[in-house]
Amino acid sequence: MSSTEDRLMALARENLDIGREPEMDAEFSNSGVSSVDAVAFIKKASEEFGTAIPPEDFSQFKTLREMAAYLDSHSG
Amino acid sequence: MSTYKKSVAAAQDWWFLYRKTENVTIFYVDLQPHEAHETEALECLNREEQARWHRFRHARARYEFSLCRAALRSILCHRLNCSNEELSFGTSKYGKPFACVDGVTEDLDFNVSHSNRHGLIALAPHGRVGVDVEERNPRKCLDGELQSVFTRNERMELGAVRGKQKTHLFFRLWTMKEALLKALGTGFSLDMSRIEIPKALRQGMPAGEFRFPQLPAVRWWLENLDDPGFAAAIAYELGAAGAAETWKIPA
Repeated sequence: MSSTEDRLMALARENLDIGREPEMDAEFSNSGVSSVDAVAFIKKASEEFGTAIPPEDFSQFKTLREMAAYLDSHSG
Repeated sequence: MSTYKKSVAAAQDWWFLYRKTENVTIFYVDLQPHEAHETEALECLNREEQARWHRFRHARARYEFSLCRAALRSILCHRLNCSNEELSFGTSKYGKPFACVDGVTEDLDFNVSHSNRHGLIALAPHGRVGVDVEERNPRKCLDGELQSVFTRNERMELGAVRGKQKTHLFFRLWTMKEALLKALGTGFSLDMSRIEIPKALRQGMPAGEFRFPQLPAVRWWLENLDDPGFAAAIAYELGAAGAAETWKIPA
């Protein structure tokens, strides 16, 4: 896993209460994450990585791996 | 898992009519754990829905999806006068589902929301509808990063209350915002902080008219459906002039 994926996985373990180990390629919509927790997680990741994630981009990633790729491509 | 031949009407009902007005019909879906209900529900789903059921990683998510989707199928089959086999679903660009009968898209708008033990299904014969339900579980994020989904006025009001009162206000505001986003069909791609819940609704009035700043010509009716067991709200588009005036606001 890339460094971003590692950090994002750690953040998911800490913040997403899904009753099992998060998976990099599981779609958020199939993970039982509530909308409140999903939005909170995106905001948390945005703060942790120092990368703004505008709401219109939320639909660009459906998994943690896609989210990591988004953060990598929008950092700096 | 099998047949998909089963008549949905034969299912043991775990849903019931919750509210009905001339503009909208709302059903409550009871999602208390019940193994037989999930078995029954799965038999009502088509192949794609059963495949989706298998993709859910969490048993609770599978359960909520199957019971809500089977209830939705039953309700729509009755309303659209079609068989379970004739009914299918598509999704819009932002993920809002719509119904098709024999592959033809239906005008009837509907929306589904579920949160742990509670589900709501809303139907609107005219215009768009959105519904949201949330169990009020205290979360540490309510005081943190989620503050940014609220406007300055909303944040000030949230900052002025504590404990249970704060949790209630948070979920009242959240469910109204999410219901509006779902009605509009944009999902979370529209910034929630650009929507301010009208002051009267924030302060406890149960329902009122709403207009998106970005879409001022369209009027919406927004109603708080709070229950002791859950927070919930519904939003729907007002079509004919005077529709809001005919709504009887509960005393």
